[in-house]
Amino acid sequence: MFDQFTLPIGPFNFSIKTDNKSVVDNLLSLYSDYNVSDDCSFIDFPITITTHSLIRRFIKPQVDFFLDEFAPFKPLPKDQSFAMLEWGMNWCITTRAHQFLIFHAGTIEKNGKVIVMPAEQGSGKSTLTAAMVYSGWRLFSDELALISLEDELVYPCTRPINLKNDSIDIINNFVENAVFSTIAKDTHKGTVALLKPPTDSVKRINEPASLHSIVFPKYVPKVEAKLIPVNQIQAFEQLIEHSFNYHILGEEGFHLIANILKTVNCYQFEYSDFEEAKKVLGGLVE
Amino acid sequence: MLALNPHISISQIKEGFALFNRFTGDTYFLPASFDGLLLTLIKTPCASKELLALFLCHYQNDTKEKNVASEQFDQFITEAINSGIIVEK
Repeated sequence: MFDQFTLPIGPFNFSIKTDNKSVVDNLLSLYSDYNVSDDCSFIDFPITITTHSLIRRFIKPQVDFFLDEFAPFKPLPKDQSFAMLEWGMNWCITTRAHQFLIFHAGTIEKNGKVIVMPAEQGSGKSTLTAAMVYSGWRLFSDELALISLEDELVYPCTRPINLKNDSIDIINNFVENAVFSTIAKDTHKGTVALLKPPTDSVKRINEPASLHSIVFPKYVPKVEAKLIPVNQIQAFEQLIEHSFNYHILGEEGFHLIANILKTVNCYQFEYSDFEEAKKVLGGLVE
Repeated sequence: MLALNPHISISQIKEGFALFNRFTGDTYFLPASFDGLLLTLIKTPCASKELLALFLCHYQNDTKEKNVASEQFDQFITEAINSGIIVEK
């Protein structure tokens, strides 16, 4: 028996069809503030999470991710099904939403000013993003920065925050009454749990805002939080490196980055303590 | 004669120029010290000797500096031709 949900997430409508109880339970828990329905006139991404193979329903159970009829990934163990859905949703956006220049970045907003924090996998950007959005900032995304080619605004893609390994406990201790998904162990990223996004960020999911600063975050143990200006050539190179679709957008992406760099400041950001990080990043948008 | 590749798009940024080759999709960066060469080539194709003279005109009569600058110029032209930023006509 399949359940079906329509999930409007900023500029996208996802349809999620599943017979997996864990996916249903986690969707209902982490997306409870969203305008979830069972009907929508237009769907961008029709997703199904199910077990294709009959044998794999019973022996070492696995799940498959489908976009329409297409399965872009190998099946994963059943206890990773909700994490698979979230990874798959990211994949849908980064491979298809080319109306945006997309960066692999934590994206947060305060006072109408967006800070984009591009960083490598495992650099702690999701942890920093989680700490900031549970300290008064608005969550756009912990994974993706979507910058419109049309109006150069940053669009929210507010979804649960993907935390890994030690970050799960760190944020559980930092955020009062944090709501997590079920924990998936032994994934290719280690132990993974998703954190419910702040309600206020979800309510404002359709409000884009202007990009104010680009900050390349780096967790450095015992260091005092500080911003180090990055020159525009270095920033341009790093932005290309962290972009999902610069190579697809071609000249449009090139001119968009060049335009962005004319109006925003870029910094490398070293931090070890959330309270200091809050002060330093807060100072940027006052 | 040397000319700017017609497939190159240019955008000026704070520390120099960003260049994009529409044909290959490659992006390049030129530091501000080569601004003059690029701005000349944007306007019109130019002989290598003329470009060198233009590049060296900032160095007055200091022979040592001029020699270093000449080497930089040769390196720039070679790399710019190899990467397709500049084409020989």
